[in-house]
Amino acid sequence: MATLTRISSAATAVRVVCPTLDHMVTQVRYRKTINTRSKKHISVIKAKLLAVTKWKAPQDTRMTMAERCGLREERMQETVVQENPLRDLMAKEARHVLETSGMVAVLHISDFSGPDRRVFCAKLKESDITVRFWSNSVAGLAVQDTPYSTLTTLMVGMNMYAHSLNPQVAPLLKVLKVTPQVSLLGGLVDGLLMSKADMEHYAQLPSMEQCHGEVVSVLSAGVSQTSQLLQNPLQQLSRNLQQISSSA
Amino acid sequence: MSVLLRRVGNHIGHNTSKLCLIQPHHIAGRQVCPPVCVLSAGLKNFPIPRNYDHVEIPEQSKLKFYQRVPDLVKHVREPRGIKMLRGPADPEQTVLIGKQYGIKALSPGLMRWGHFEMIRLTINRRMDTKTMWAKWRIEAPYKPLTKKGQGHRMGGGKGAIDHYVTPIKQDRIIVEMGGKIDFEVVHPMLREIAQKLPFQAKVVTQEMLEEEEREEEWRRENNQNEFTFEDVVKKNMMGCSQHISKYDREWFGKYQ
Repeated sequence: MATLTRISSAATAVRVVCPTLDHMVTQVRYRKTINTRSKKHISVIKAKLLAVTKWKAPQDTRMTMAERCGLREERMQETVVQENPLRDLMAKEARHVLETSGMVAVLHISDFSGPDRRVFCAKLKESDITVRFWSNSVAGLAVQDTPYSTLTTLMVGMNMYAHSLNPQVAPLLKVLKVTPQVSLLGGLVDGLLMSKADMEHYAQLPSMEQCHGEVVSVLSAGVSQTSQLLQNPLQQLSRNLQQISSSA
Repeated sequence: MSVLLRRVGNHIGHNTSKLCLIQPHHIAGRQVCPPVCVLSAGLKNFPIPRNYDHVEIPEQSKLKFYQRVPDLVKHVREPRGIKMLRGPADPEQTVLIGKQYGIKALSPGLMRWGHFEMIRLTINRRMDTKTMWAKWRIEAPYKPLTKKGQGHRMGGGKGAIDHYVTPIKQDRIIVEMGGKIDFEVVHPMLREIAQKLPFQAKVVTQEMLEEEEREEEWRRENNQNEFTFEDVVKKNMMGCSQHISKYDREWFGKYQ
């Protein structure tokens, strides 16, 4: 029961077996008394036996005092996320925005309020970009079961979300250059998760028609080259014959 | 041990409202998981109010008036009868019938007519008859207590009946309340009464009673002490039967 100590006398025996006797006196109705303020002494042997047979808790395997003073282990595993219908509603709205918009950029805010914020939002509104706020737990819920669940790594700290129907990364970056309080963390553009560097690169790309034209020209370059090579000797021959006919 | 902690930590991470994973970190070479409950300013929760449609409120929902003296033809003086106070109450008297809220006695005692009136007036004054009901779980005073006149010497027979009381054993439910209301509505008035009773009493709900039962069962199963007072008394260990009363042989230290 207790650690091994050298028992030299009866007094030490008592101290080893029951270091403190909690129950020395009880409130007992004895003989004809109904008055419970007079307490009766418990015999020493009974008090010792009560002390020795006290309930002992199972050993706590947790390390820190914070954990040991917290809930019991079974109770900890029973803890359930509180149902919050408002949070569920907000997460549903956020998920709808995520699915229907062409671009969702995650912005980090520091010391940004009032007139600065309104100016920032107005500038973005010119290029049809809306800025919204969702707390990290709500945004995490919205992104949970989608293929973009790795966005949760960005949901730390104070975040705002800029979204638009068409991906308009260039205007966004232009406005962000002028507002030092807001910094871009990353985002979802055209169904692809992008980091800050990726988005800057994306902004510098030319328009779609230009790209189409470039691709067409690259593909047709080989064909045009072969046709030119084949036609070259014939053209050379016709030029030479023309020279000869004109001189003669 | 570190393996157990990691498992518990990950399980916690899955269940908390904080969506970032709780990672175990190292302190002095041992792997440690941070605590479960993380306080953070966040979204306010507006919980859906409980449904009390199954609760019926009777017509006469207030507490009845109890008489000071029972209607008897012949009033007989009785012995003191302290065994009416010893030990636990009957199992049916320790259960809430309405399964909502009530007052439970934590020690035995005698209730006089004054206590009954105090309870009746407090509850009837404070309650709303349309949404709440209240019910007695104890009888009107029936046990006569005698008293000799002031200044008389000993002797001359037993005294005359002075007043009547109700004996109440430990763990008995005194009064019950319920209705289409939450505990917070009923708690102030029941607490006020529980403090004024002549024995220790507390306000209970059905959930509290169930929780206590589960806790007691867990304690009984998870006792690391191989000896209990019950074992000691039954097997007469250390020749202790000399110092153990007949009530300990029945209730093993729980009740006096």
